[in-house]
Amino acid sequence: MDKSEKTQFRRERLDRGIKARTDTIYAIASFRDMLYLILPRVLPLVLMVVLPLLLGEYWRKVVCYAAVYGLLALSWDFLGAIGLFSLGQALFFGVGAYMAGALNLYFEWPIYYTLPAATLGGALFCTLLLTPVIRLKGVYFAMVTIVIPILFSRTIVAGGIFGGTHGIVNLTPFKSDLLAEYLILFALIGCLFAFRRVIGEDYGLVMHAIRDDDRAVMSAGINIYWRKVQALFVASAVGCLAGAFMCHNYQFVGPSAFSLDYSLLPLAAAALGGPGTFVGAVLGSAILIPLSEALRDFGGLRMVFYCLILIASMILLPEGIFHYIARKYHQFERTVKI
Amino acid sequence: MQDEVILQVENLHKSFGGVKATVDVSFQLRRGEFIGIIGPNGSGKTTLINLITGFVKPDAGRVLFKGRAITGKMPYTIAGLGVARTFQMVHMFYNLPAFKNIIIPLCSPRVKTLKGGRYGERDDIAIEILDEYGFERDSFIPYRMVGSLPHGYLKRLDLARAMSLRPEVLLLDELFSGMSMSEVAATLPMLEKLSAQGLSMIMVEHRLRELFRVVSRVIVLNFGAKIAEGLPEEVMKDASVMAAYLGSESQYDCLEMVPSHGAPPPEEQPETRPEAEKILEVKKLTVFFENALAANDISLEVAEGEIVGILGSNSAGKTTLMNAVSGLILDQKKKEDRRGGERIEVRGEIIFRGENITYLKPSDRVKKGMVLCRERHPIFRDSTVLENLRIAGKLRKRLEVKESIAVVFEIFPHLLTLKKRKAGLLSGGEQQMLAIGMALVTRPSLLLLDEPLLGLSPLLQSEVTKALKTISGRGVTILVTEQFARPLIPIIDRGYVIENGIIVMGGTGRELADNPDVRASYLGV
Repeated sequence: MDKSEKTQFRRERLDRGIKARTDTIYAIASFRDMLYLILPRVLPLVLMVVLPLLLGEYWRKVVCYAAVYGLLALSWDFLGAIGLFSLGQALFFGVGAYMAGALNLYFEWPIYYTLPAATLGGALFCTLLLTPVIRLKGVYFAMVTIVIPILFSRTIVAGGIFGGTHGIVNLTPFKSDLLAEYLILFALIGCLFAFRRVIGEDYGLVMHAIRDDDRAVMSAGINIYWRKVQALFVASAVGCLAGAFMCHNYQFVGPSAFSLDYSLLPLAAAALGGPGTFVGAVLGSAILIPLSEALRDFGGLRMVFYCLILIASMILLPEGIFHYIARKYHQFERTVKI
Repeated sequence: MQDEVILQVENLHKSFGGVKATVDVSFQLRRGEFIGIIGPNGSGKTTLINLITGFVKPDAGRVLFKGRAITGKMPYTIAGLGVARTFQMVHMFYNLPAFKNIIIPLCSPRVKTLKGGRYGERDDIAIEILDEYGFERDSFIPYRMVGSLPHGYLKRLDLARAMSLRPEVLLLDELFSGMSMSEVAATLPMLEKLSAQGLSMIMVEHRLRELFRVVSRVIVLNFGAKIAEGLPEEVMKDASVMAAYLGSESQYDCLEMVPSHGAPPPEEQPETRPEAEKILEVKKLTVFFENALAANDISLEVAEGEIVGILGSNSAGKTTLMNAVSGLILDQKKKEDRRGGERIEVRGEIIFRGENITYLKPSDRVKKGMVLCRERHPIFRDSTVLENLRIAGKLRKRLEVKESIAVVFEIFPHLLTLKKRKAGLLSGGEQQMLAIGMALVTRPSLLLLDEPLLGLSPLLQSEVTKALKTISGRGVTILVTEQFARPLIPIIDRGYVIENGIIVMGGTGRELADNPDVRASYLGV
């Protein structure tokens, strides 16, 4: 610590010039600048188109599965953006799945009716169901959302509704696997871009403001509860779409659609990828779900390794993978003399 | 129109868990009028504003806005009708640029129905509004992150946010608290202008001199009840007001305690004892927050038994210095790098009783006898006063704690009467006393106080100042920061002035008080 004699150095973090140029000033001068802006946006689109064509049948199913979890994670992240900490994505998933399944079996609606009907109808149902508890904050809201799916699945099993334990079977499948895969991937990417757009606008600004300090937003004359209802509707629509898709993909829906997995895995995915960014939610599920498949070779120890990897990543990158990548993409470090 | 009553408060009552916060308060606000509300800490001023704006529901009574009852309505409905407010503790979105904070009220239905405000236009409107409140349009200030703005700007941003709703009634909750002299001076004309434009305003404030410049009528609250109302001069002469609020030494008298040219010093400055042992030595302390330099090459010394003051305006680096000395900010660059948070670097040396403690954890520093009482020190709101003191004494033996709690009650006799009350229900001043008490229970030999007088009424300010003197008399060394130095100057042995993270001046309390620059910036003479 002898300061006077030695020159000291410190590391400094700075935005890249290209970031500053493309961020606010819009002086996009070169091909490199354009690439800097476009590449992160085009890359997921390209992946989406190419992946189903390249992979084998098994891994295509895994991609499908990951996309469904991605949608649920997006739905979780959207609620999180307005300060509603949900532990009940399974509710949205289950309601969507059962609604699509019931419409398909009992009313014999075709897929292209059941999907939108289950998405919007399910969202309406879930929103009405959760609106009374929207004033609850933090852990109280989480507690309510975690028990409601359990309530539903137990009611279905005990009451024998919708086929009870056996569920609804023999639903219409998608015409081709490729169609189904593109459909769900398109929905995922569509939601991702839409959410990121919304959160960047004034609407998203108000959402974040409500999460950070609802008193200040109330004093600005904005009805925070109406905003929360809106966010709840959007989030449950996305969750219901995932459920409706899954029930047609499996041609089956049972009480397991309300299982805790659908609540917790999206949360883990979003936390791993970086909560609050939406990309993180997708990234997290794109890592977690294939990882859990890849670990199948370990047999009984699969879950052990899975959990260890999850814990390790939380400790090493607590801010989430996406935040880390974004920082490295936008900023650089240099050593300066003091 | 001038005589129209725009806001009428009728017999408001409110109590929190048996503590009466508002008792039968009634008053009228006419259109275009500017009323001041004053009263000791805990007299229910903020509660009154919360009751009017709907953040707290009254137990009884009602509030009429333009003849319509607004009692029990949601805060956003009331704000939407045109009753805007600012907050005592700034409620801002720290990770947003300043102008984005103005976008939020611009999104409210009230502003939409008043005027356009479509997406994209809002940025321009926001920057235009901010321009009126001292955020120059052509500078970088409206685009700076709120977290990096000086406190005075935050308060003005809050004012701008309230005004962007284009309200008909504006309620200001201690707008000037925490502002420096120059910031207050810059804000006053804005209020005068608003008042001249015909806006009806109510202002809660402790800075009486500034308040009286702008208001036409004053309401005095004590223990939740209205004890006086009238013109400022009349109210200040009222005996009950003097007793409840101003104390024996009014704010004006406080000034007399400052030794000025010609006037004899009220008490002899104790000679600095050269033989006294150095208890704390800070050598070339430099603190970086990310790339910003918060403390630059600070060196200072504190000798055993002294009271040393650190004067500085907002964001001068006082809190950074205190946190670095107490170890709350450690050199965390490795950890923060991974976490992506703010990267903090601390360089230099902190020596306590001849021992280098630069890399010691804050808890270990407390064990060595150095305790920090932070700015707006957090207390355990759901525990009683006595429990709070016991929690603080966790480190000491039972018998010692008992003794030191008795000492605390001796220094702050007021706390003894509140022993069983939940700390969250205490007023700001009482909480501050409790916080200092909690620091004392750990039996420090060096007590660090960060802005202990922030937001206190004149009476409490002098009470806390006296308590500091008593504590010092018990052999505790005190290092205290303050931006509003008037009450503090008489008791400090030595002081430093800190500006932009650099110590620009040091000297005895007397020397500082005689310095014209200090007098202008920190004493408001």
